Amino acid sequence: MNARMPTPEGVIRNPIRGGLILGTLFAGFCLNLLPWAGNGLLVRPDLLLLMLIYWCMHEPRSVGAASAFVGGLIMDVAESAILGQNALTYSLGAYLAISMRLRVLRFGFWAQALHVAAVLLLVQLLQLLENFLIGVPLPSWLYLGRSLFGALLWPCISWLLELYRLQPRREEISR
Amino acid sequence: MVDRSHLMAHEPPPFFNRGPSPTARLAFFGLMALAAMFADLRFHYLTDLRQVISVLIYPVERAMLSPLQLFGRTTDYFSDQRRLLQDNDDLKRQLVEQSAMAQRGASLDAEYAHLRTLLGAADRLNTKGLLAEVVHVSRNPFSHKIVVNKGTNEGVMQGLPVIDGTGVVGQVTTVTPFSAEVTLLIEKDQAIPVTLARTGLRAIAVGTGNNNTLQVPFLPTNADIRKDDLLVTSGIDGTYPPGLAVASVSEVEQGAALLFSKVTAIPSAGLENHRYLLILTTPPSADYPKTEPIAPEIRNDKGERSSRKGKRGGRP
Repeated sequence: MNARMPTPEGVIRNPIRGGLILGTLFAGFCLNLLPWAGNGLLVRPDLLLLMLIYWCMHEPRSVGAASAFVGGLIMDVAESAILGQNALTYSLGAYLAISMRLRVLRFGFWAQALHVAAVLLLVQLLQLLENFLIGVPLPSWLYLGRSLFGALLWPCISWLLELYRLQPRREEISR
Repeated sequence: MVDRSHLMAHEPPPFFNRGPSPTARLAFFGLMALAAMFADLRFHYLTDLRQVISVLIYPVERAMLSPLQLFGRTTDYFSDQRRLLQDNDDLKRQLVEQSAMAQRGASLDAEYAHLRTLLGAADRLNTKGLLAEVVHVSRNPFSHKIVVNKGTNEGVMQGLPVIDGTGVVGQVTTVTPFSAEVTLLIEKDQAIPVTLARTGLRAIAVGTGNNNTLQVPFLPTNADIRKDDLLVTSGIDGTYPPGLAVASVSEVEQGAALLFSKVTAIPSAGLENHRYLLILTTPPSADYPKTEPIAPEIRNDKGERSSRKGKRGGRP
């Protein structure tokens, strides 16, 4: 498939099923729960946020600020943060993703990744601001590596899901 | 199946109806999140919600720990046999050494109990412990917490002190049915009342949030405190039993230019690298020292006594 043109003309994609959305979001959440520590924890990309941004861009009618809010609350409990910290930042991420989706989805995957990096960075700055206001000492600058690695993962995730969405369905083959 | 119900109604079909605009949604959920943060931080209202979510995600948490456990078991399996024998020898020697100390400890305990009964005081060292395994460190890069595998089902409560073999580790701050979060001493603003083992000087050690250090604020510049002094719990708060090792002083800065001594201490317990911890299950504030001033109680004894006591109990 052509990686530079993510939306090939004349190709009808498979409809997205709710199970796929839920499954990928759940997978992102699970990977977030892997026991990282030290510098690994600092630079580990937030995969739940990344998946939320992906679906906000591709399926804004199913996934939006409400899903981001709920996901953020769950992540708050998992991170033992103050309830609402991640809910706020994820809502901002969903908003940014939905408002720039029409422009961003016309680009190739790597150009998309640049935009996603900006979204992730803004979300992280809000996270830093929250923690600064709460009075927690700020982590080292390595923390910003989360956005970088998250953006690097974007083309892989987009490509995999695009492959899945473009493959012929079983009922079409049998016809 | 397309929904055609709108064709029946007399209003125009909702072609591009997408509900509230993204900005309105952001404003709504942003305000909800801010309200939640406020309620959680100031009033601790949302503990029930937190409990429910944490029970729901508990199986996922356990499942995602298994890769690490598998890795640990595999490396254990392939570890050098000579190293195991060496470890075994070391442990045996330690056992012999410590059994002598333990025997002495037993007799000292008996003597201590005898003396305490002679004095007619409560036995303050009678603390029970609950062995807990560290499940994982906090996923939040902004905080210094660890999660252990004992929760309310085993009788763990909020506020219980946690120690390891060498000293105080911290305090249980959040409990769920299956696990508990322990806030480490080095967490910012985590305070513990201490006394200087050498001189008996009382102070409070406060976490700094970084560099694995504690600060001991508000000591006068002429305080008798030196490098390598040991800080032990004073037991004044009723949370930590007295006499547990907390930290050793690593740096003292005193001078005419300073208002207070600047004292930095390093925790005695290995805060980042332990596997098993002991949760002391004596309820907090059970043995609060009864040295309150009497004068204020005489002034307002119209049923305000209990509320005043409650306030004092919350103070570290």
